[in-house]
Amino acid sequence: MSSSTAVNPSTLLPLELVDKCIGSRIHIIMKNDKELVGTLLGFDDYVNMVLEDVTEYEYTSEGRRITKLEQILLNGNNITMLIPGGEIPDASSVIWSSIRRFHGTSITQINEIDGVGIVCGKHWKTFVYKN
Amino acid sequence: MADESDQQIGDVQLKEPLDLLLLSLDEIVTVKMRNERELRGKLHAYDQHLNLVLGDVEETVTVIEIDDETYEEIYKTTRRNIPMLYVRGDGVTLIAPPSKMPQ
Amino acid sequence: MSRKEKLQEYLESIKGRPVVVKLNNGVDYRGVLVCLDGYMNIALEQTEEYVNGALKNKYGDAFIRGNNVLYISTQKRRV
Repeated sequence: MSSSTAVNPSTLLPLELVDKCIGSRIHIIMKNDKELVGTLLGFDDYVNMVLEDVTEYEYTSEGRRITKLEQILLNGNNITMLIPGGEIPDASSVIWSSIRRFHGTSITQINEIDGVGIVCGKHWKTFVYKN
Repeated sequence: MADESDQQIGDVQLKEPLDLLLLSLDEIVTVKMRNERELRGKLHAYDQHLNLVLGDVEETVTVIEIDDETYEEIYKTTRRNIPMLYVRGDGVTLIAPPSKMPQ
Repeated sequence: MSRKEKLQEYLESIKGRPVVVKLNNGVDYRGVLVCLDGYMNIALEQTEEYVNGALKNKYGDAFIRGNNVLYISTQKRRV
């Protein structure tokens, strides 16, 4: 934690960003062609999360599979990105997959999404401006 | 409080999931592994990584082949018996103790 | 940190309840959650294994290694 503040003292720590999402809808992009949208209730240092009213999207060779789940504990291990705001526009998966290629390693890189100028910034910007 | 939070299997209290293995020592367990591999054998020992020592093991490996012409999925299983086996824990996905339920 | 407490609270609340555990390889396990630990290792009872939505196996008890777990899902508790 201390090293990331030293490098970039002006910005919020990644986990503080996630903390601000508590109680609101959040869009989660996983490593293996999975995305989830849900209301964030809580999380821990590993970004394991408790989510409510979740929709799970799986992209398979047969198309998109959608699963509704009431409450889940999501393992943080396979999360690549978090995006505040809950919509999942149909056309977006193409963009997401290209983001994944550049930013797919860890959520600490979430700051760079805005810098790269990907379209998903609507919620993201309002989110940043608040601070 | 303890009575409320500790769940029971049979008449034994389980404090953590690994206790399930403690109860399964010297019993025949089914172990599911990655890559469609399944083991059945007597659980001699385990540790916190799920490294296991199994005796009198039957290993079943399932390979799914796709027929070139019909694209049918063909499941091919091969079995072999191994007298004693050390299993590295990271390949393990599930361990099931001998079932008390009818299969 | 209250955010962490919410997680702990959830973990406590789901013991003894019916859950669906989904693994990274897509397999679902439905059963009653006996207990779980910090690695997300899970003990289930009355476990049913679903592959692509089809019931494949039943186990009385089952231990699931936490590193394979994608999520644990429950129904909301209705008061």
